[in-house]
Amino acid sequence: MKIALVGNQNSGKTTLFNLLTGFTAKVGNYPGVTVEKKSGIIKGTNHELVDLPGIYSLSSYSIEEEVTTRYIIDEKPDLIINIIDSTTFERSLYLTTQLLDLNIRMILVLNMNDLLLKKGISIDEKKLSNILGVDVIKISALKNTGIDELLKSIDTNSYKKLQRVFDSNIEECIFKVNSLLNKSVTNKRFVSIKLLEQDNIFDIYKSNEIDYIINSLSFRYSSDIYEEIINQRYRYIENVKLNVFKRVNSKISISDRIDKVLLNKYLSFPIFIIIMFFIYYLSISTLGKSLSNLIRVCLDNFSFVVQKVLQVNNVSEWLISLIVNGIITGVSAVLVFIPQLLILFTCLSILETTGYMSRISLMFDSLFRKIGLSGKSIVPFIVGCGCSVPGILSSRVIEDKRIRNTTSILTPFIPCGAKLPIILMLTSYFYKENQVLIIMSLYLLTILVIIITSLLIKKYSNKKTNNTYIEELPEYKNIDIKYIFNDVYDKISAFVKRAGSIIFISSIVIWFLSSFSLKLKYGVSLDNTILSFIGKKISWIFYPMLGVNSWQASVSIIQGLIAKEQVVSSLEIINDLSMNSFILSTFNKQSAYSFIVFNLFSAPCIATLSTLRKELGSNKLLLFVILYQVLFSWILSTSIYQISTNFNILTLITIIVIIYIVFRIFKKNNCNYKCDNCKFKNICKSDHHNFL
Amino acid sequence: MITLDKIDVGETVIVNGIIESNKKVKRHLLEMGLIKGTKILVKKKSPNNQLLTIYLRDYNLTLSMEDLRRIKVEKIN
Repeated sequence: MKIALVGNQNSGKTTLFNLLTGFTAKVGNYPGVTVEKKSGIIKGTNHELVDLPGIYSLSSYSIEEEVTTRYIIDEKPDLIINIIDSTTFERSLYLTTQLLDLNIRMILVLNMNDLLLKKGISIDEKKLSNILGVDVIKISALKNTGIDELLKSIDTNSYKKLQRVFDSNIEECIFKVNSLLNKSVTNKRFVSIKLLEQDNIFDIYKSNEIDYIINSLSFRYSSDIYEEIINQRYRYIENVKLNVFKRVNSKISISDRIDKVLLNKYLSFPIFIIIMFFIYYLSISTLGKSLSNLIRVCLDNFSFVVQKVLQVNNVSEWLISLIVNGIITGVSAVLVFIPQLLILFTCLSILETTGYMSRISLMFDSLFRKIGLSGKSIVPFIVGCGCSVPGILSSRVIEDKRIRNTTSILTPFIPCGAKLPIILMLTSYFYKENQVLIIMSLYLLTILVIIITSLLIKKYSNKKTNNTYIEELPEYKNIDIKYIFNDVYDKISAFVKRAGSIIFISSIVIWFLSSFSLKLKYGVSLDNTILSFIGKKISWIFYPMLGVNSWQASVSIIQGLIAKEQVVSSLEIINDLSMNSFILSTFNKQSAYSFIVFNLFSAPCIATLSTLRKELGSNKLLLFVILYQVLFSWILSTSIYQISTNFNILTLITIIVIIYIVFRIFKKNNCNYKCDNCKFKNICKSDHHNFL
Repeated sequence: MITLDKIDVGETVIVNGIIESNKKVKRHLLEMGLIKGTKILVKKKSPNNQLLTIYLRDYNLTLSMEDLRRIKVEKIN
């Protein structure tokens, strides 16, 4: 049997999915869109369970809803399991009434009853079952109760009664439209209602007769039909609630008390910063770092042992080098990263499951809207501090496509864990005294770059963005360890599969380029390798930002395309070979800073690029992004170097002029909603002018 | 006619309708439960006053100022 799992976000759907399928889940994409598709086999059965995206209704104004509707209509599941959070019964049941219009067998699962009981309410599931005409089962996905009953219900046949949601007028029209539909249409009732609601998803079935029916119906009611249908659904739900709710006593929510502190005007941001700092500290510095070092030591020893073994067995030198310096080094680069990512993701998952992430998105929303992002963009940025690959993947929480793409494009700008060594190494060479200050200046520069890029994208994109924010604020919940485990596992495997495989292959490529000469002779000095040849050919590009023609620096930057840590390791190797004189003789304070800047903001590592390509869905767009990043970082780092080296009155004037021009481009037009006299009426991107 | 953005924290009001300036947004608001006659309790404001959290139909919904201006309400005496 093919079973679809449908429900609101935060209803415990994923927890139930994991409970039923164990670890057999397969994750993929729905064709043509970047919405995740999760399916698995229910333990002990042959049934396929598909976890559809969390949605609030089957109206298609977001891609998740469209995908779910399409799945249900096209894939025709044999059974729908609708899971609802009992504490939000009324709102949850809205989707249920839509699902009941389908010609598909359904089981209603009431989750989180314990929370409802704390509020002093209990639901009479037998009565509910009679009213709706479907099996109703109470479960607690967290506490693993009621699952057996659910499994039993899946295998027994239950019949569906026609329920009376709508009044006779609408039912009459449903019947009329129904009869006008082609025989081949399945789920005729559902399609008829969607047509009456004028939902675009079934536009292919529209016809003049149907339009006539719709018009005559709107005449009857004082509002649009879709509004009337929504009204009638809720009236029905209110009625059902009165019949099945048994009240015991009522209580005030703890979540509100917590939010009084966490969303407090003065405390919210400091608390946020403390929490973020703690997470960062734990994952990058203390615990994460020691575990990473442990792994590094193990791998170093392992590679040493392997090298000895191979040498003893007289394996040819280049093969040893390939295995030890190419493959093992490449794989180590990935493995060493994992402990830090593990801790980072666990912390973030805790934030998400307890509900704090929604508060964060709330706090940052208005700030981010000013530059064209949304509050939810903060999540990819935070995750991006560890690694851009899972950072870009977590931008999927954003519904608006333009904002989601913008966020994905901006995420690589954040100094990820791999870029940190570049910053740390060069600043410890040239800025020993005020290292912290300089590092802070780099982070501030990052924020500036993100703001400017985001505003540019907003300015030149032709999509209107609403300033709407319609998000449920869930109650605080206890930590769900199983959920966190699965979530972290998903993210880490995404990292390993995606980043790991690419870094692995490119390490071998770089090894090859740096071990062989142009005539393919092995074991030449660094100066004669293919890589240095390439470096020498392009070192002129980096001359304006470094003040010197250094093929070694160019080579390091190229290696940064593979993985940003390679920049540091490459510089260190060259430095070693030159008896520690290379870095100090090639760079100075200004060129070191501009070198860092270039590496921070230019095209990210290949792993990130491939993830970005997948999320953006277009080669053209990706190329454009790469071009922008390389040009932007080149201009920025060159300007920084040139201005800092030749600082005089002329450059000061140039800076002031540039800042002035930038401000004029981004200046916000004063808008007082007096749209009649407003000269920007035709191009204004806000839709408030429709009020008049 | 007063809209939801003008209501203070702690007040309870009833929805009187949604101004249609954007059909998609209006429909979204309706489907989240903001139909005529729905009782709303204004609960919390975001730290910088740009977002409002309201309590309706047993759950919390956060809306932006732009959405709040679309929701016509009636005060309860």
